[in-house]
Amino acid sequence: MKIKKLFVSHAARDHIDCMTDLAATRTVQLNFGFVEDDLQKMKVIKQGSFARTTTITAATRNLDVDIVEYLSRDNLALLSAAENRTVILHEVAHHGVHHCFTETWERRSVSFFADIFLSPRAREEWLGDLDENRRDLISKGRPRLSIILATLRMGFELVWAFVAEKWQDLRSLKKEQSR
Amino acid sequence: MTTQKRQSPGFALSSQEELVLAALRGRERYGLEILKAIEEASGGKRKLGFGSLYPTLHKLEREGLVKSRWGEDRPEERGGARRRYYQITGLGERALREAGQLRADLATWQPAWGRV
Repeated sequence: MKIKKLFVSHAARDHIDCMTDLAATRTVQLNFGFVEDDLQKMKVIKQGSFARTTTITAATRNLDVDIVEYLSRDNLALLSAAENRTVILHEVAHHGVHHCFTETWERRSVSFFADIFLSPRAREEWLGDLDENRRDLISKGRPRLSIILATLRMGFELVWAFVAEKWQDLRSLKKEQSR
Repeated sequence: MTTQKRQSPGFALSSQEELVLAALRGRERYGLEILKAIEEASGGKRKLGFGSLYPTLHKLEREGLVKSRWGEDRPEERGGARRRYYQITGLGERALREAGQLRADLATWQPAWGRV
């Protein structure tokens, strides 16, 4: 019997982890396809907290997958060009995909402090840049742990920079007043 | 934001300020783009963190060396947040030129007792 492999991009894997983090064992509907764009549905069952322990089970439409392999987006593109029978999960179609970038615990923690310390202008500008950077890291296939650490570091830097800037302003104002 | 333009005839740019101004020379950019420009143009040798970028930009803006505006689009990858674009001003260009001139002068400088 031929072993069927499901090739999944790192970015899609991170989306899956993120969504399953949001609600453990929740069934998430994904679109994936053969190269011929035959879209089908599958079921994702969470079995761990981190990326590589997530098990993907294809449960519908006679699709049996024995091995799940994670590849970079570039390698996926090469593979899809080379083998047109391979099942490739390339995109996660889910209404809550954007929430993967903003509704994870680390992003929520950054938002919490940003709401307290940052001005509306800084919040929109800085958190927008932070989200874009997170998205970039995810699409590059960086592991989830690394994204969590990067987000926390960036969040801390942003809040710290804002507080330091305000403190400087206050000091120069005091200096001017004392003259 | 109130603008407090530098009054002194010369500019004393820090190395971070110089990098940021140089990244804005020729085209306007937003925060993350400035960071990437500096990192990629230097081959990864020079990196600026978020924590030092924004205070530097705000300082340059207060001093009239850059100006900024909100972008019109609300990209999905930013959660609908607009980008804030920064652009170098004439004063910023001048400050950058002076910083370059200072380097050139330093390279050819000789102590008075060494001059013939």
